[in-house]
Amino acid sequence: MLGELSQAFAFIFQPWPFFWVLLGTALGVFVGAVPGLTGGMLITLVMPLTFFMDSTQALVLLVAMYVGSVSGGLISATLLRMPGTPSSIMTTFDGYPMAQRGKPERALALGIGASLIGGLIAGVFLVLLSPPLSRWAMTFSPWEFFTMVLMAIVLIASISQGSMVKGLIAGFLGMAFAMPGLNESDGQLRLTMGIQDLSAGFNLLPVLLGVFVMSQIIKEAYELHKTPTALDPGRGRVLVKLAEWRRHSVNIVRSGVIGTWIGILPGVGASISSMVAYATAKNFSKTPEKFGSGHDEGIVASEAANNANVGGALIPMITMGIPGSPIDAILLSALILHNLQPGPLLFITNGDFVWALMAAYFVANILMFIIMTLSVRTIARVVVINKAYLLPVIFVFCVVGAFALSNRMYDVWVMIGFGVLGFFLDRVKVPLGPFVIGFVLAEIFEVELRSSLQMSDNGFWGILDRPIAMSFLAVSLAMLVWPFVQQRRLKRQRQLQEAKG
Amino acid sequence: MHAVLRRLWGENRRRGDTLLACGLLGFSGLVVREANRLPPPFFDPLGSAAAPRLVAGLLSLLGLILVIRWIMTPLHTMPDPVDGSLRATPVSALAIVVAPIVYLLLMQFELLGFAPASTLLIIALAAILGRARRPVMIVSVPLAVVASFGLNALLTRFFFIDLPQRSFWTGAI
Amino acid sequence: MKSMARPTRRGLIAAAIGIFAAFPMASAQADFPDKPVKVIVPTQAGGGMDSVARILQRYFEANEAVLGQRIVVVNMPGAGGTIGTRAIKDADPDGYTVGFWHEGLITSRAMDVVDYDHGEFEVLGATGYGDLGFGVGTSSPYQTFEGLLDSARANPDAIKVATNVGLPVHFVPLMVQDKADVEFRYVQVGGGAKRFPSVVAGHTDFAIFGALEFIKWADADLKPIVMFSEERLPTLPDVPTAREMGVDVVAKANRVWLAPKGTPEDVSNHIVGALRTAMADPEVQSQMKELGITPDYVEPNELSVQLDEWRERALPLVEKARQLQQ
Repeated sequence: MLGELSQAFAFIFQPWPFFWVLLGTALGVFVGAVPGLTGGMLITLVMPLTFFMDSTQALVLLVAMYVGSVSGGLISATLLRMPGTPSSIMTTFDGYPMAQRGKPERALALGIGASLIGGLIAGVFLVLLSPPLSRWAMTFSPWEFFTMVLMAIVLIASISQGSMVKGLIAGFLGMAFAMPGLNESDGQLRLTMGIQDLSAGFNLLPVLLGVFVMSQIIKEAYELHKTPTALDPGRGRVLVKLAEWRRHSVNIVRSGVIGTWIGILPGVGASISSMVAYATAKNFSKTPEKFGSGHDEGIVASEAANNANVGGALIPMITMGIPGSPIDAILLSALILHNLQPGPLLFITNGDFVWALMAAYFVANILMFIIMTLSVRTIARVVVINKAYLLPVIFVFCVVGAFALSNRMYDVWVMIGFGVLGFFLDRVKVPLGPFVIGFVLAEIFEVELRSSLQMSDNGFWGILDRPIAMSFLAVSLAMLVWPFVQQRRLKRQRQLQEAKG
Repeated sequence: MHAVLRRLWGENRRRGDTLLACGLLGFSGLVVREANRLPPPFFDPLGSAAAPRLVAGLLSLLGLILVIRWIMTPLHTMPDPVDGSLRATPVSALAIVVAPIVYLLLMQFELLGFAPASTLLIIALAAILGRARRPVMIVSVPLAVVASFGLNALLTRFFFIDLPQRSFWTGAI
Repeated sequence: MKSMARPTRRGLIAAAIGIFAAFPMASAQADFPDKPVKVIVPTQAGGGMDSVARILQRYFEANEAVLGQRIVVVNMPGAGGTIGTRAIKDADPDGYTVGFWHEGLITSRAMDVVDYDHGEFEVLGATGYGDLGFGVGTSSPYQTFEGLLDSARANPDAIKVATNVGLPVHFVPLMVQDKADVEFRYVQVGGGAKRFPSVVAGHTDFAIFGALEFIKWADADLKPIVMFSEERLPTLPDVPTAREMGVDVVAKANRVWLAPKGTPEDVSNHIVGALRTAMADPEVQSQMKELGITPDYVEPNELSVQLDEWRERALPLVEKARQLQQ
C-alpha cells in the first residue's frame, strides 16, 4: 500500500499533474469564495472539457477543484456573512462576528488551518479504508447494491436540512426524472409521450447544468437587491500559533472524524457534516454559550468537518461506485466519460488511477492551505465582484457544454427546463442535493432490483438469504422512523418541563 | 404583472406547499398515465412500468402529506415571512429565462449563428443582472464579442463541436 | 447553396474538357469530398466505439490523400444508439454525413425501439469486428459448453446468464437457446466490465465476452468455453467454436458503417475505398487490436449477408420470448 501511494505521489509531483492540481485547487478556492458560484457548477462545466485530457489527469483536476471549492467558501462566510458555498454556512455564525470584532485574520487563519487538518484526517481514512472496503464490496450481490441505494435515498432525506418530507420529495422527484427514455435495463422505451428526442431521456450533464448553474443565475436575477459589502481582511498575518492548535486538537479530530463518517454515508453532502460537527462541538464545549458570537471552536468544527467530508465522500465513490455527495455524482459521470467503470473492480482494473486520485487529494489540501494563506486578501477583494460580468459568460459555457454532449439543441432545452424547475423547487424549499442524488441513483436502484429479482428463485424473499442486504434494509427503515421517534421524545421532554415550570 | 408574479413566487410557505403538492399530484398522474401504456413485462418479472409507478405513488403520497399538514396546521404558525422578498425582482428573473429561450429559437430557426447570437445573449444577460448600468455595459459589450467569437472559433476548429453556424442573413459565418 | 453549385460547375468543365472521362475514379474523387465528412458515433465520447472513430480520424488527418478530406467525429449518444442511427438515417444523402454502429441496429428494431434496421441505410462495410464467446468463472461448475447445455436442458430456467437486455449480448444466448433447445435465465447486469465480476463472483453462471476480454482477464479467473466464430481463433486455439459443438450460431460484433439511403454510388464507393485503405494500415491495425477488434475490413456485400442473417434470426426471438413469459 505504501509503495503504491509513494508511486502515486511521484506521479502527482510531475509537472503536468502538479499543474492540474494547482490549477484545480486555485480555481476551486476562487469559485468557492464567490457567493453564488459553487464547486458543483465549476466541476460540471469543466468536466466536458477534460475529455481531451488523460483520464487520470482529468480526475486529478476535478478532485482538486472539489477540495478547493469546499475550502474557499470560508472567506466569504467570514468577511461577507454569506457562505461562498453551502458547506460553509456554519462558519458564518462565528467567523463573521469574530471578523466584526476586529480579528478577521484570526478567524480566517483558524478556518484555513482547520480545513487543512480536517482534510488530512479524512485523507488518512481514505487511504486506510478504501482497499479493504473495495475487496468487501466485491462480494456484494445485486441485493446488497439495491439495499445500499435504498439506504442512501432514505439517508439524504432524513438528514437533509429542513423538512424530511421535502427531502424525500426531492429524492423521488430526481428518480422520476431519470425514468423517461430507453430503459437500459430492459431495452424498452418508456414515458417518452411520443417525443423522439425523449427516447434518450434526460442526460445527466444538462440536468446538472440546469439545476446547479441555470437555477442559480435565475436566483441571482430574482435577488438583485442583495449587494454584499465585505469586511476588511485586516493587515496582520493569517496564521495561528501551533500551541493554539494543540488546544483545539480534540475538537478538530472529532470534527474531522464526524466529517469523514458523514462523507462516507452515501449521498450526504458537506453542509450536513459541518452542521453535525458544529452541534457536537457545542454539546461537548465547556462554554457553549459563546457559540455564535465569534468563538474559535465553532469555526474550527465547521471547517474541519466540511473538508473532511470531501475525503470521506470519495470512499464510496471509488470503492463501490455510489456517490458520497452530490459532487461525487458528477465525478462518477466523469469516470464514465473517461471510460472507467466505477465499482469495486476499479481498484483492480485501474489501481494506479485510484491511488493517484488519493495522492491528488492530499496534495490539493496542502496547496489549498498555501494558496489561501498567501492570497486571502486578494481573494477577499474579488468576492464582491459584480456577477453581471461573470454569469452571462458562464451561461454561454453551459450552453456549449450541454450542446457538445450529443450535438443536439435538445440538451440545451433540457438544461433550461431544469434550471426553471430547480429555481421553483428552491423557492418552495425542496433541497436540490437530494434531487441530483435521486436522479443519479435511480438507474442503479432499478438495475440492481431487477437483477436481484431475476436471480432470485422466490421473488423479493430472496433477500432473506443475504444478511448484509438485510442489515442495510434494517438501517434504512430505522432512518425513516427515527425522526418521528425523536420528535415525540422532544415533545414529551418539553411537556415535562412545562409541567414543572 | 409585477404583483402577480410576486404573489406566485412569494415566500409564504403555505402557498408554496400548496403549489408543490398540486404539482406533485399532477406530475405523478402524468407518470402513471404514461406507465400504463407500456407493454407487459417479458424477460423479467418487474417490467418497465413498475419503477415509474412506484416513484409516482410515493410522490403523490408525499404530496398528500403536504396537503394534510396544510390542513392540520393552524394559520398563525405559518406566518408570511417579511424578509427581503418584498424587494425581490421577479421581472428580472422572468427576463433571465426568456432571454435564453429567444436565443435558442434564433439558433434553432437558423436566424443567427452561434457567435452573433451569443454576443447578443451575453449583452442581454449582463444588462438584466447589472441593471443596465453604464460601467457594467462598458465591460460587457467587448467581453461578449470576444467570448462568443473566441469560443466559437475554439470549439469548432479544435474541438470539432458542431455548433450552429448557419445564419439567415449571411448564409454562413 | 454554395457547396451544391461548385461540384456541378466543376463537373461541367470536366466533362467539356473530357480529361476525367477516362478516369471515372478520379472524377469521383475530384467532386467528393470538398469539405470535411461528418461521422456520427452513437455513443459518448470515450469508450470502445468512439475510439474506432478517433483512430480513423487521426489516420485520415495524417494521410489526407486517402479520403481527400478530414473527418469530424460527432458523438450522439443515447437510447441504445438509436439517437445516433436515426440522425444518420435522416441526414442528407450526399456522403457528408455517415456513421457507424454494430448489430444493435438490428436488435433495437427487434425490441421495437425503432422501426428500421440496416435495410434503410447504404451499408459501407465494417471496419473490423469483435469475436464473441461464452465465458465462465474458473471455479464454476460449468467448465465446458456441453456441460452447460446439458445442465440447462436438465434444469430449464435455472442457469443464469448475465446480459444487457436488448443488445446483441442478449440475443446471442437467445439464439443458442433456440438452436440447442434449452432455456436460460436472463439477468440484467450491464456492460462487459460489469458482467465480468458478476460471473467471476458466481452471482451469475456465464455471460458473453469479446475475444480480447478473455485474453485480458485470463489471469483474473475468467475462462472462455465456446466462441461463435466460423473457425477457431488463433489467439484462443483451445476454445471450440459453437459450430464444432453442433450449435449453428455464428455471431460477431461488426463495426458497421452506414450512410443514408440514396447516397450516390460513386460517393459511397469513394468512402468504401478510403475505409478499406485505412484498415490496411499497420498502425491502424495495431490500434484496433488494442480495442479488441479483429482489424479486417468486411466488404459491404459480405456484411449485408451477415446482417440479413442476423435480422432473420433476431426478429422472431423476441416474439418467442414474449410467448414463453406468458
